[in-house]
Amino acid sequence: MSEDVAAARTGDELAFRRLYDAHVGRIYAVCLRLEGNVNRAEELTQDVFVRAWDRLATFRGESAFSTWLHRLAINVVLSDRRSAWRRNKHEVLHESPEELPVAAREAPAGLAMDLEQVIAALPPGARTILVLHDVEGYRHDEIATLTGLTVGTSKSQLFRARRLLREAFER
Amino acid sequence: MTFPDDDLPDPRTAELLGRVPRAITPSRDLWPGIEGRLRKRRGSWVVGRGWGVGLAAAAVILITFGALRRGLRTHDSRPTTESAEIQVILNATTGPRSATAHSLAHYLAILDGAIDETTAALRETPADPALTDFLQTLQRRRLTLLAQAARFAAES
Repeated sequence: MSEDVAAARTGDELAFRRLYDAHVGRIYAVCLRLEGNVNRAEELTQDVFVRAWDRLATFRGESAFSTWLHRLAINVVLSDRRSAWRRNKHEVLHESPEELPVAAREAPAGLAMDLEQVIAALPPGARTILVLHDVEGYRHDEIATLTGLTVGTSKSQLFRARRLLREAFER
Repeated sequence: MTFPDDDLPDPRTAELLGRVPRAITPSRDLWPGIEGRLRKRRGSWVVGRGWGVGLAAAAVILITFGALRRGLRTHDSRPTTESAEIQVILNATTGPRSATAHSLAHYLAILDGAIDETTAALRETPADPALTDFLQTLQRRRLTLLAQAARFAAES
């Protein structure tokens, strides 16, 4: 366990600030890609660090702090999405995306296209699986645990997400 | 980034995704918002802790009082009777204010019951200083309540 993590666990806010500086880029990136919205991603990044502060005592150092924090970030984003789903009463992770939204489809083709923009334009369910699997390197069984989906649904969403991604760049 | 063999993306997609940066710098400093929330939580923790201490103290008092009453009942299980003062209050009050009168009478009856039980317990253990103190406290409370009841009856 690093000195900063150990110090932050005892309530040292300066040490926690150093941890924030070291990890904010990675956490913001995963929040942004999973959420697809800059403002919401910023809010969720703040939520992640506040919860990390609250839960530092539960970090035993069995994994790297970055791994622990990263998984916490994914849980925060997915939990927020589940809450939104309960509020809005519509499918988020189980939708069947067939096409990207118009704005993404009309983006210029080829490598000049903003990859982040295309990922952000994916339907939330497909985007989640693509980011977790192809960007963050989680396995389908891990994704199933994190999201509450079945492994089959995770594979199916990944297939769709990749197809949408390819189509966006082939246009 | 690792892919299980059966989950490999096609080379074109893999090449695209390989260019995704692992970290992105937010467009604004997010720390002030985090710091503010940490401070707020610390404040609410202190306030919450203060309330917690107060509630715990209240709980201890209530439990002690209840236990003492239960203990005293084992020594003297005589049913409590309405005192003359209670009858005066109830008889003097009618209409919408009678609910308040009943409430006063109810608390007076509880105090009377506790006084009866404590007096009975003192008969068995006359040298118990805790019981003597408790009886005096109950009698002071009864006098206070009777004074309130008298004012209330006079206004009705």
